[in-house]
Amino acid sequence: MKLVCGQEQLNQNLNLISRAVATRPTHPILSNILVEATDDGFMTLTAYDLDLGIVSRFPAEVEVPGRTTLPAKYLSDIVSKLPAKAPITFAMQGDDLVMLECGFSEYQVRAMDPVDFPAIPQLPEADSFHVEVQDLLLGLDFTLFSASADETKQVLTGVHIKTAKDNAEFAATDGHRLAVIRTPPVAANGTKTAPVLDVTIPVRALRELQKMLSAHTAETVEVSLDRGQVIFQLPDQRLTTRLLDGQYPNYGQLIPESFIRTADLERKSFLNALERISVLADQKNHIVRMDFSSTGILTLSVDAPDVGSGREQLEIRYTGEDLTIAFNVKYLLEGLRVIQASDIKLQFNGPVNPAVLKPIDGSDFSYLVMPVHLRN
Amino acid sequence: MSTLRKIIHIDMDAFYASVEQRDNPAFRGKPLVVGGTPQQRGAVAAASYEARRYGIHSAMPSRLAIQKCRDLIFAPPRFDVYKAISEQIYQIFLAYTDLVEPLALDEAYLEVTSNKLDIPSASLIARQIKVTIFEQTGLTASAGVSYNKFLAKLASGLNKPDGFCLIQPHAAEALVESLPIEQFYGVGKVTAERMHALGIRTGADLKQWTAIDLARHFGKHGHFYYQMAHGQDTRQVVPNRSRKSVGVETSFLEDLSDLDALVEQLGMLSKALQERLEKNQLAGHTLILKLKYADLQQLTRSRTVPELLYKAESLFLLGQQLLKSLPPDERRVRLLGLSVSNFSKEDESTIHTGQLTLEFT
Repeated sequence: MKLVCGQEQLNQNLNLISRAVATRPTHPILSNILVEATDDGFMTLTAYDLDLGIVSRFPAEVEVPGRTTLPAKYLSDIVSKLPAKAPITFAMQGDDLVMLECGFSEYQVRAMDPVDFPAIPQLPEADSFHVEVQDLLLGLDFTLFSASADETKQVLTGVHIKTAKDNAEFAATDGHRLAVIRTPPVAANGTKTAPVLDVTIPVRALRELQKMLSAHTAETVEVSLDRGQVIFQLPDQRLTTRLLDGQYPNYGQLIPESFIRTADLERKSFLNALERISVLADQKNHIVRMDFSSTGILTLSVDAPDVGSGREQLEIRYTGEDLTIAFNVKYLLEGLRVIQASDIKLQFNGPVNPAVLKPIDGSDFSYLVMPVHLRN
Repeated sequence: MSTLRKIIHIDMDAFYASVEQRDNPAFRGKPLVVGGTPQQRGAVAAASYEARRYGIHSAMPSRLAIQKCRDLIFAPPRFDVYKAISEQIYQIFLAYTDLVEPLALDEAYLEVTSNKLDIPSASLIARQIKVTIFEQTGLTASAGVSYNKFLAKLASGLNKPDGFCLIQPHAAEALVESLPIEQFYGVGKVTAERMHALGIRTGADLKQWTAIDLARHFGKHGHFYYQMAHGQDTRQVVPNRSRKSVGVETSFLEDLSDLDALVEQLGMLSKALQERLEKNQLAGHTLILKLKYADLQQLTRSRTVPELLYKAESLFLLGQQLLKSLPPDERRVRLLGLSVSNFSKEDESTIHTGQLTLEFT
């Protein structure tokens, strides 16, 4: 194998696949990436930890086609420190050594036999369908933050995606809050044959997908699905991940059908006030207390023993009886940050019942948050 | 790899069975297995060395075991006890290194290439650990020392029980060559049969093969077998668990013998433990009670519950249950300790605050 590629492109592509390299490899080769040089003038990088796999290719001057595997960490660390735009030469030396040259820098890195590198699952192309990148990103942006980071919660560490004839619903919950968004209906289009999906995809893979899609110019992504695996294919990139097993909770029934208290607020000023409150709240237990008054005033307060206390007041449009309720300020902030609308609606029943946050802009996003029970 | 690593493999001798013999003097020196009785259609989870002399080994159906030895004692397993002892041993390891990789309750790899006490000799550390384990638990362990995991584990199995073995680099080659293929890491029954079919019966046979040919026959594992045959094993010691605990303990000015006085102390410990947990924003599922008698013998009991433990009331309640479950003992108590482990990975900020949860159905 021998090829020449640009530092910038190589560095970008290494970053893109880096999260799919095993951090605790069960076999030494899993901490390597597969490097391939092909006749058609491409350098292809593959990382696969047996759960998540990412493949990315970019143009390179291939002199001798071939394949090998190199330690991901050393390769990325060296390449990232080489000068931008400099050409880098890769040349295989014997069976297990790769020479990396760039200007006056010269490194020999120990390679491992690509025979041992596990094959990434391939799905039959016939069953694939196309999804709008814009819709997929919308679903991910509005739900990823709400999933559980606790591995023991299994199915909750994923985003649940359910499709209907003309739109899709994304949902994520960690047991304390729930984010649900429905993508806008796609105009009836005879060629669209997306199957009805009902899958839960690990957040870890979706975060990488989000990165990949955001950096790409493609308008659609090709998706194929098989029992247990899903593959997202862009022109030069591919991401494959295991699906999460198990029944996703029936979250629809958690969202109350009616509310007896409603507040309309300006999003930005609410967010700013909460961010200031969180300076003190985060020192202790993240709790913000909210007093809604029927006179149209919302009072936010924080009391962090040994640290200090604070109070913010906002003018709001409020209907219903006075209410005192408390929340983990992090949950509120995360929800408010993904919303773009200038105004939001908060809906409540009582101080220990779920509250719902929605943008007032016609989009179909609901963010349900469980309050904190205040123990005086 | 420029410098050789120093790896220790510690393996408790007939762990479950030895614990039962330790706690029941009547069982000592007798053939005993831990596991279900033949009537329960049980199987042997662990066999004492006395039982092994009759050809009884773990995973054997109990029905078969009793046929081999009519006087065999069956002890029901007490996993809470084994877990608590395992935790105690883990704490001993931590005094030397944080690079501890437990494989089960009764075995672990330690990397001591550099260690907290700057002891240059891994053999010395291994011997110290064996002594400390015996002093603190009354149980024996076997230790193997070498420059990689495969050889360290091989070494700990060579002089069991209460064994110690060092495999130095220059001795490794001959040892690996003489080793039957079945004893290589990762070679199970099926692989062994396939190797036999290829004429590979010992390490020396395996060594004749090139990495490429082995990969052709055994896929990605082939490369691994190749390394093993050449005494190479690059697997790292990975501290793969977050088994930590938060605890409080108190030594008494005068040793206590009265249960009421102990319960009173337990109440105070529970409050102190709640404070510690709150300060660290932690909550766990396992409570461990530690008791040291006037003769310095130490005893631990633990219980794991589905709900999260962090409130003083629930710590106290469960602590009392553990205390009262102890067999009556004449000895006075010098020290009492209470700790919580098996922490919830839940977002720490949600535990102590009264955060309400969604009710999935």
